[in-house]
Amino acid sequence: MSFLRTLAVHTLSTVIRFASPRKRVWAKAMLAELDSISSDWSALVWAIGSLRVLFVRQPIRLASLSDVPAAAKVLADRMNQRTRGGSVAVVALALAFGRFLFYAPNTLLQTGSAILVLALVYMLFQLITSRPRPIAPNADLSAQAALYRSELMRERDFHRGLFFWSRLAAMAPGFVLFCAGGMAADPSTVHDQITTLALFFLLLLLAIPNNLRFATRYRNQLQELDQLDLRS
Amino acid sequence: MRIRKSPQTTTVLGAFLEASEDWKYGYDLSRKTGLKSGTLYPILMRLANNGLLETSWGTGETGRPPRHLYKLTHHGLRYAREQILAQGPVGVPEFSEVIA
Repeated sequence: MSFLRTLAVHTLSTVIRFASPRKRVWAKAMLAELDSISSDWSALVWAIGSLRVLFVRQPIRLASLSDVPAAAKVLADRMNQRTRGGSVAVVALALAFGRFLFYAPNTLLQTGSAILVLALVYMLFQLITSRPRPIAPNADLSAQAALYRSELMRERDFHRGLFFWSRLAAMAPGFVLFCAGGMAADPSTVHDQITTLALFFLLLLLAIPNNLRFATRYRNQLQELDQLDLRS
Repeated sequence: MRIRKSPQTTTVLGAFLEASEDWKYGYDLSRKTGLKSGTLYPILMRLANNGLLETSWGTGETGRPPRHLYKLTHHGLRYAREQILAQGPVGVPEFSEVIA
């Protein structure tokens, strides 16, 4: 087996290992196709494409109330993943900015880092309070549907309204002060600091449609659940 | 129906409409539509998730692993025809013949 084909097989095997059970079958399907691809280079390109499978969202379609437990599990897994990943990122950022509380060359930078750390603690609080709530394993379908509904509402509100806008608003002042402090400490970095600020605000702007899209998705899932209730 | 109505999805639906009763392989679909695996498979996943696509593991040739097979469901066939009629031929030139 050539190096490229070996790499293709390893790539797909890795995707299979990391994929969720529902996605794993698709990654296995892609792996099964490798033998039919004669060119080694095409096999590698095919395998690299499998990485996208990991990022495809697969919401469960609610055809009946019996689909609710599976849909609730998918939602809970996603919320857990967000809580874990988000918390690690927030803590890492808080530590990175937090060290300027002790070693800052000026008060502006020190104040900026203090506000940023507070904003990150607030984000961590939001992440932790938005983690999924457990349900009793022997709960009946109506109880599971009720929990699923409340979790969808929490997720919808996490991505819009006061929760979301307060997250954005909390980050901005600290970062502006932090960059201003950096400029004051070393005027030769003004250009870099302005670029960093512009990038930061661009990311904030991009976060708006992204979060509102998530909120709309959860709102649609709530409507789907409402329709199911009406039918049953 | 919350399927992203992209030209690529229409292309895939069109490919399924050709010999619509036959099961199809992923790599064959990729070659027919010109879509890379990273574009094709998310579309297949969404179609299957919406009950438009039937999947099955076929017996492979001797010494080869079983391959995943795909076919539009009855509902999927109707959806594909509606979409292609609504959007017009995209990508696969034989669409109009298939619909006719």
